Amino acid sequence: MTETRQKKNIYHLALSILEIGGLTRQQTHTLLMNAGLFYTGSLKSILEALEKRILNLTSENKELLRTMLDQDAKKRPTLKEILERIKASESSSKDIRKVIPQLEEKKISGPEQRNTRYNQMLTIWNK
Amino acid sequence: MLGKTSVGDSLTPKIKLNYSDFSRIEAGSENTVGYFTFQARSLINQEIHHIRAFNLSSHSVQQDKNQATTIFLQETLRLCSLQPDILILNSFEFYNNKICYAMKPITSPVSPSTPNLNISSILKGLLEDLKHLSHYGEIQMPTSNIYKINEELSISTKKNNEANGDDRRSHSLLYFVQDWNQVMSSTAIVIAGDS
Repeated sequence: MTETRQKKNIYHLALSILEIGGLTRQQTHTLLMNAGLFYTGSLKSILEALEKRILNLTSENKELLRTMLDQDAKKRPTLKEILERIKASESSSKDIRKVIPQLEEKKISGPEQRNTRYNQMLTIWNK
Repeated sequence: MLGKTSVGDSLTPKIKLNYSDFSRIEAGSENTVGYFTFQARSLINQEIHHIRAFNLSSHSVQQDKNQATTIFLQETLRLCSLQPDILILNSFEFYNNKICYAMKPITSPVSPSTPNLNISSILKGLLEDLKHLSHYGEIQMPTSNIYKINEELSISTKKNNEANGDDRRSHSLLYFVQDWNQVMSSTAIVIAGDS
């Protein structure tokens, strides 16, 4: 499979996702193809429109779609890289889900304890 | 009634014998769909199943019958890897180049513009299909070909998840691309139109 073909397919996969989110494939594609120097700005507007339609669109997924639609095909992620990024984003959100019940159980009262827990959560987020 | 068309002719004898009340549930053109999908009632247990019948009159078959058949079988195997018990194994039949099988009616098209879409799950499912389809060329997946499997996780899977501390809800949505031959045909048409 040539890299050029794979990168084209990744661009079209992102368009399919946008279409499921309610943005017409042909309109989005035409807008991006005619954007020229305004490509980055147009893409930003498209993803903001998607954010309004898909309520639980995470910042990681939005960034992933942005890279999949990058004007420079070489900068688009490979199929393997996309999968790795999804897994990483899922495992970090799983870690957070584990910490939150612990916080609730401990019934944190003092500001000192609260800061410790907050720092623990930040560490997990930043992993 | 299916009549004497390529649609009706696509069914194999065992499927005709064991099912009644056939109605086609996908609306694609007879020239472009890789297979026909029917809803039918099993005469053995009265259950409603979905029947897939390979379309021998499609453009894909006219162009390259071996490749079209290979892709149809690859898609079937991929579906079984997603949900192992989806296919009614005893219904699978090859007869005079016709291929048919029945499956549980647990797939449905993804509805566009649903506000609570799980983008990660959709991407994961479609990536796997795209990996296989990319071997055949440039692929553009129409939204109408994106489907989901929605069934409660099996008890063993639930137990495993609990043991691993996985707190996923008991419902799991799996996404896949339906009718790979049709997706390839429609992509070829779009590319020809663009150039």
